[in-house]
Amino acid sequence: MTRAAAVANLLFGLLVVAAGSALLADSARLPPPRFDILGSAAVPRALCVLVIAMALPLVVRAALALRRGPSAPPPDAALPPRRPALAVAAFALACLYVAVLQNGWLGYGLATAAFLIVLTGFLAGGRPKPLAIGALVAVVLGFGGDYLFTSVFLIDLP
Amino acid sequence: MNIQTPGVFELLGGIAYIISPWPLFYATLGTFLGITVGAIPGLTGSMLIALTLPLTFHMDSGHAIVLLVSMYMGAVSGGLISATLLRMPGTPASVMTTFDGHPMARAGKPGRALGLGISASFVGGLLGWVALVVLAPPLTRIAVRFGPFEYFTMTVMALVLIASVSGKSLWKGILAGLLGALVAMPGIDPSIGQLRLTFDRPELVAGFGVLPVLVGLFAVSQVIKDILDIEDRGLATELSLTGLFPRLSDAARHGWNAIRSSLIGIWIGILPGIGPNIASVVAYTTARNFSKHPEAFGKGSEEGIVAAEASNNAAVGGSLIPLVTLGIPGSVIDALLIGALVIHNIQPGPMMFVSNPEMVHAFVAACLVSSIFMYAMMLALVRPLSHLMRIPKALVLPAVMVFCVTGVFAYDNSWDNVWIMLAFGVLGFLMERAEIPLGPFVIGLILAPIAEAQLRSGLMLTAGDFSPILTRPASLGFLLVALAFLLWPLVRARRAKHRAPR
Amino acid sequence: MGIFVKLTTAACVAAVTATTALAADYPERPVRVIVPYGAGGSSDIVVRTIVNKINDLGVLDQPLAVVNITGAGGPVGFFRAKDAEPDGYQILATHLGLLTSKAVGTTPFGAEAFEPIAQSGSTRFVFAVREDAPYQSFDDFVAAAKAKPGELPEANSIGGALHFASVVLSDSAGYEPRIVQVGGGAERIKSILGGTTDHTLFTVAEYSNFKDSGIRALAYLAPERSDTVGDVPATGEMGLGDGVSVDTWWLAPEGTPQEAIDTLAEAIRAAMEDPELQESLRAKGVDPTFASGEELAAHIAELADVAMAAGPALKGE
Repeated sequence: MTRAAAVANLLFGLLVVAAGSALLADSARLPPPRFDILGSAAVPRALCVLVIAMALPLVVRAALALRRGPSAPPPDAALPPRRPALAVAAFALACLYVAVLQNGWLGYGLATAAFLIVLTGFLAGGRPKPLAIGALVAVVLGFGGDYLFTSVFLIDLP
Repeated sequence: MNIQTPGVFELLGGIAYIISPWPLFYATLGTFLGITVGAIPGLTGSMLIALTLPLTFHMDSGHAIVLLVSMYMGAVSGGLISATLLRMPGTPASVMTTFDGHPMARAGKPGRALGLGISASFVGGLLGWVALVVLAPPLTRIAVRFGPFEYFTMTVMALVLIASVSGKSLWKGILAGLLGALVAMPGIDPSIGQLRLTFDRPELVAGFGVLPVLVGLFAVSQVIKDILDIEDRGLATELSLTGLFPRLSDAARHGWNAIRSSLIGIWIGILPGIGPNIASVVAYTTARNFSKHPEAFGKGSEEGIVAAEASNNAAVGGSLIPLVTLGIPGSVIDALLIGALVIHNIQPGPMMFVSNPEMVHAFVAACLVSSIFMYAMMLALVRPLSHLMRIPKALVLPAVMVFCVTGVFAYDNSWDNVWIMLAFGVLGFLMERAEIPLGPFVIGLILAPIAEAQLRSGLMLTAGDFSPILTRPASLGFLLVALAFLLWPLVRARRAKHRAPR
Repeated sequence: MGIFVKLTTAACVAAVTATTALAADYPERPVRVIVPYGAGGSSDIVVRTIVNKINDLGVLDQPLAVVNITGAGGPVGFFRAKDAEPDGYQILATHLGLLTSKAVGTTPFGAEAFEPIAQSGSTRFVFAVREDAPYQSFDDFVAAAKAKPGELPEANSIGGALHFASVVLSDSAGYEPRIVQVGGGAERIKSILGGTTDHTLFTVAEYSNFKDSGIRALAYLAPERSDTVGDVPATGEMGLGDGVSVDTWWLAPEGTPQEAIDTLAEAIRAAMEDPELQESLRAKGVDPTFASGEELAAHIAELADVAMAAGPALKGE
């Protein structure tokens, strides 16, 4: 197990255990079975228990692997570098885009065009050609989408 | 039960019906829109049809049916394009196609991968249509006899099947399936309507919808991953489009697989409530278990693509069978089609053959013609589409993100769903890193409410007696199949080990 | 999750634009009609038929647009409509499922959280069994059911309008079925035809749809017989009560301006007076009734009491 995989396993396992426990706790508030002998609580409870039971070994294995230190060879140096900061920034931008739409700070067309141009700019790293095409796509998708949904499908876009 | 079959007259009537300008136009339009929407991650066929429904109120009812059925067929097929090229299933039915289609495309054979998928879709669509014309009544009669215990064991079987095929580790596959099932729990209890596990938040009353979770897990997480690896241009430089058109040898090599998968698709399509999604899981697993090269599945197996795509298109024709013969929808989209009919004052079901024969013609013809159009259009579109892999990611990824946000919002007018989608995007990314397969998760999410509701209905029926699960033959049969599929890879691995040292 | 963001800011922006303009100009943009049931279902179709007629007649300056907000068989749409800004641009079209939803505790509110706009059309239920069932009449069935209390399986849709009608019927006829959750009309017909369950209720629309598929109606849950259903005895004439009428109700979130409510009620009335619409509704098994104002409020309040009283039975207690 590489270090990254161990961390992912550990995080995922803990997340599952936490979510399973929270749901298990919330299921205590459910009424007793009424129409059938299982009731509303039985199936989710069983799933919670199973999921927690199956995730715990993952957590333990991942934790042990982390303590032992990296057993696998370090990643191939020939691989291109990863861009974690860029991925986080792009995701944050997507969240901002949704927040802008949800709160109606900008109309759909404008917000979408702006989001597309900024994200394309991020990803293209300032190279002019993709940026120019990106701007065109942005305008078409933003305002075309606005027209399609509001005028054809009668959906209230913000 | 008096169930009628379309038969030869309807067949001829159908062909006469469709060979006129307007129906042909709507078939072309519907297939094209269906393929496009199916191919764009974040937009799905059921969304397209739900949005188009109001527009068809003022159309001729036959035209409306042709348009909607063509969209259905197109959308189920279009999903394979993004599944293969971007590893983002355009529709839930193409989740299985990502397993083998994308590895093949990355290995420099996108043309071959798409070509196989398209041809398999075509074969599946045609066989589904044949079933619609000739097999409707006997199959419907059997399907109607299935009670809650059969549905329960069948969904459990599908869940076991997908957990067993989709990852390196069976443990993680089952965990993913159970986790997907758990995510389906909050919201309204599918059986008696009890509100549960919502932590008193109104946003959770609707639970986690399939669409936002699917789009988040597959499309958003893939966008995150692609941005992380944006410096990686390690694609095969030469995108080979040879092998787009099937060769004669393919008929020999994949023929039986395509037919078997289509039959599975038709049968599962007929069963009310479950459609192309489950059909592709079952057909894929079956193909893998019968395959001479099961180890290639998940790494770019041609057989895997054929099984997944033949079965999901066959399920379209299959799911129209109970609709036309009984007025019972075989899937979510069929329920929308029934709505379209009723709005036009047409009662779907056996009387439709007497009261509105031209509607039966429209169904039968649309099913056939849209399969043919789909084949032609997809072949024509493959060349330009495969360049999708060459378009700089900096242009594709932002656009995909916008489609995801817009599509998920438009489906239910809910920003909660958009946030759910984004959250599941992060979860999907984490799951990929931890090598937890996404396929079982989504199938678990879709199937768990059906399984729970059916099991509890069964228990209401028997006043708490579980024994019919084992005493009803079909129910026992499904459990045995599940068990066999679970154990077969182990047995085979053992045998191979046994043989190896000698 | 942790990232849920409240809808309120969006709604506030909408409210500012709305209140400044709300006068004689209403409506000046499309009005969203929230249908808390699936597109293409029988409730949805009735609402859409009326909406189309209103839009065709042009009695409003702006179109009505149907939005299906489904999930959980109604409550999701109820919550959404209740929390919508009361500006007259978001209204709810529903039926007594809103009342039963409160009675079983799925939603903490019922019709009192809304202002009634209008009632447009009512439908009823038909009691049906498989064609080859041993019962020739409803009396036969009741006798059989009384001989085996709690054993004859009834295909039901627990917690909804149909369940309510079934509770009212079995109460007045004095039998006790075994309630089995089966679901919508398509699932119930399949369950009856396949012999999984013994009997069920269908809405009139579902019944006209399925009547030639192999089922037989034993009773029409109404004061008297109807032309749409045909020669099926009514529970009223058998002395088993008037049955439950499922009316389509148009409701606005509490606090919606009276002008908006009156304008919409007037538009719905105009549509309901159209002979073509009446014909089309009758064909769907819907009686084109109309009510609004005080009369409607009293009717809903009365039904709400009955539903609350049936609460324990609906909850299976």
